[in-house]
Amino acid sequence: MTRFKLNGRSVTIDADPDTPLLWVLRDELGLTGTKYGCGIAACGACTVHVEGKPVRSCSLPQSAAEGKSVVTIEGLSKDRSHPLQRAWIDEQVPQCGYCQSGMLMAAAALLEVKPHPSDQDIDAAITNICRCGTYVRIRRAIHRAAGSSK
Amino acid sequence: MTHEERRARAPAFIASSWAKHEISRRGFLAGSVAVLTSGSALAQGRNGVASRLNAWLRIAADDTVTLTVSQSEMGQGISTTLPVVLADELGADWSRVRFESADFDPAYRHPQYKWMFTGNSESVSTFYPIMRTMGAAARQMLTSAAATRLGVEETTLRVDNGRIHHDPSGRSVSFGQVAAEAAKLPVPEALTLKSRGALKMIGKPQQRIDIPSKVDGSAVFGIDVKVPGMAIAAIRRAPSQGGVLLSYDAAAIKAKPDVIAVVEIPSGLAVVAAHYWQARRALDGALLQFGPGPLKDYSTRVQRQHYADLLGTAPFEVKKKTGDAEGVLAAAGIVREATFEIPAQAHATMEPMNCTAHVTDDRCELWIPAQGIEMIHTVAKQTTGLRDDQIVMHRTLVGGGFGRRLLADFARDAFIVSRAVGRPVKVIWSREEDMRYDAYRPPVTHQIRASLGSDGQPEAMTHRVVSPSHMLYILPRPESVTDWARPMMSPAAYDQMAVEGLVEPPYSLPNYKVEQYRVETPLSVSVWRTTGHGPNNFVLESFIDELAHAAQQDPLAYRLTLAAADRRALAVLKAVAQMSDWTSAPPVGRARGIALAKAFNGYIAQAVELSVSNKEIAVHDVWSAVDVGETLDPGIAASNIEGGVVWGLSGLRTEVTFANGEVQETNFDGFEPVHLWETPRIKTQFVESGAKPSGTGELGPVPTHAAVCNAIFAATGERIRALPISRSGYRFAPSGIAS
Repeated sequence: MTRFKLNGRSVTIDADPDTPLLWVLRDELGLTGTKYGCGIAACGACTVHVEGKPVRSCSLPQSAAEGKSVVTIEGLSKDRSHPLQRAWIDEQVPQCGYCQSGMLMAAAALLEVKPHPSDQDIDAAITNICRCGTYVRIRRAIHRAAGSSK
Repeated sequence: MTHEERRARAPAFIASSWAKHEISRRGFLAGSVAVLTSGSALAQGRNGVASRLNAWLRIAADDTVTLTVSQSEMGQGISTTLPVVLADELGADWSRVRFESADFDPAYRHPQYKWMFTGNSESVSTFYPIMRTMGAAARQMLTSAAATRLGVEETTLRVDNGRIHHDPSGRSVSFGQVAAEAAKLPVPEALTLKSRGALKMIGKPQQRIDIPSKVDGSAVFGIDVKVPGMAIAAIRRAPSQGGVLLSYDAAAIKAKPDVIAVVEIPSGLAVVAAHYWQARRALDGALLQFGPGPLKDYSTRVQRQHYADLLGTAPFEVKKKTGDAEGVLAAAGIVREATFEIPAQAHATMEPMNCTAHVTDDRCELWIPAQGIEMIHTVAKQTTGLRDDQIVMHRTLVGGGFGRRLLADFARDAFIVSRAVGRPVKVIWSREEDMRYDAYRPPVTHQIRASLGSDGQPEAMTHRVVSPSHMLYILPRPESVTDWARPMMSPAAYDQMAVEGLVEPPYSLPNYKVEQYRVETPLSVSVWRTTGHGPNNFVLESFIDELAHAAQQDPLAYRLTLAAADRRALAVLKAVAQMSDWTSAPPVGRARGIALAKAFNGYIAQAVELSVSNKEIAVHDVWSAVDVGETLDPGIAASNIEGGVVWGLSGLRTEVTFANGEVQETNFDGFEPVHLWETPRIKTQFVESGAKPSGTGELGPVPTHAAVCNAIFAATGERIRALPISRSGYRFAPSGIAS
């Protein structure tokens, strides 16, 4: 049994301790906003926050979440009101959209530690892969959100 | 009702302004429709009985207008662009428009190919005129019904924002008030389309309807589908594509808790469980033994040598001949020659292949992220033996298509597994399965030769292409043909992709010959974003650049002379020259390259500025000037071009190679698309020629390989003629941009 906080609520998981957190979120808890892309922590589509830090949930055993706070895209805001979500809409960032949950969670973690990131900060923090190539708008949207959250 | 019966019951009409397109008018409600996007603002309204005016729209009494989206949304914005066109021509109130995606139906076929699919950047060029026609027809039917209701002449009425107004009396009726009567009227024989000035939305950037659901995790892709009673399957197949499963420890798998079933599928095994990881874990411990398949000892090293040998020995087929290129070359003092090698590529969509199916004795229901709707429908019938009306397809959002999802292989496995276990099953491919069982962009080898006249312009050019067919597996074909690799037509009839962009260049070449040898390959190959245009443009535009330098002329000026007869080409070249400040020297340490493409019924000129240090390339800026005729949505179109540039940059680095018949790059560690930190500033400008609107999905990346490599030459003096760039020792460095 693993207990952790998911988007502010306590959850108890009865699954093999080695099951990646990604698949617990998707299949056991029904939160499908977090995506499977590679399974080797390379693409970042599965990025969630654990204790506020960006983590690739495909490569984190669910047992490692014991006692911790996990936030997924579904918990970023209740109503798309997070400054990044608003900026993502304003800049019309997503194309296919599959990677965007992970992108948003990576960007949200960045703004937590650097509310006004430089381009170099964004380069270093956003290591996720987008096959549609939305990077230019992602960069612009992060700057826009940082401006609006001043 | 069968499709034949539906068609017989549906009167057809030919729109006067777009006479080539015969559109069925369906007097029936679609049997099954999936809500395209989730989120309350986008969900289909619960508006009671709606009146269907044609295959593309119905209007409810509460004024809700529901538009059918026939084309797959895979990020290119088509689920917004086409409905906007229809709604604008109709005169609808956009805030009352709802959307639903179409099941397979002949009404939504591409009129030329008679096949329902989304691909080849053809959605805009094909369906824009149909959307205009459908909107105009419905508007005239509503107007006619309103004239009867109000007791006035049709010519005194004006349609705006979902209402039909009679200005002289100040009276008006809403669409919903007259929709039922309008639906009973005959389809107008003569249609009047709105003038450009009367259109309010076309040509202006719109908010995409699918984006809100893509920022909060609520968007439903195929992999997210949940169906009552559903199980999930993980699969593993022979590492060499098409190999055979020799043995596995069935008892060990079934001994695992949570495992529901084990099902053999072509070349491998599916393990079914309640949750994906339970199935995956059982599969990982199953001791699967495989034997080789048709790829046996296929290797990239041997393939390259084979193609190189074919350049001099194969019986080439002439695809284009102007003047006497070979005669001129034989008499020329200096003949310039170059050979280019371009690798196989994987699609690597971010959402791996998946399909959910529920197959019973009398029904096949499926939920799928797909481009090849009719092919999947056909394969569903072939696999299950069921009839048209027993196949029910629900379409989801598509987590990247790029051509991969034109095929139906990933649906077939789900049919097999669901039928075997008698319940709905979602089959999810791992990334490794997705990479090993792709249908790859084929590797190709080109040889190009030219001589220059006294003015430095090419006086003769020959171009040989060794390429498999890109189209073998995606061709429309009847249900009776179950071997999807069997050619249905002569190669010359279907195999234009290997030479597209070469046989219709924007340049005047007085003595010009293009030849292809359609090499047979055991490799599963298909179309990949840019189709043949990508590799072909890389070769042609790299070589034109070589010729410009040989003639000691500026690469832009050289192209302007060579393309002097092509008005659209000149316009994009001049525009990109201005955007990139081409005539001024780049900053110290930087170099620029340029390339031109005529592809997918549009034009694009691209300029790149980069710097190279210790073989590390920092790409700083990419400028694109784009002519897609009329730009229907400049925001969405720019987004496609921007993403396309990134696709083009990625293709300079990625490749799929084979050794002993096995793919060597099986995940994003070995197959590495460019990242954000390697992405340059990207600027896009549209040049409107007034030509018919055409698509932007694949145009952006077409000139990128050549533009970058031409800039590398300008920086280093080294020509890159074999991709990926790592073969010449290059790699990408951070772009180092500050926005």
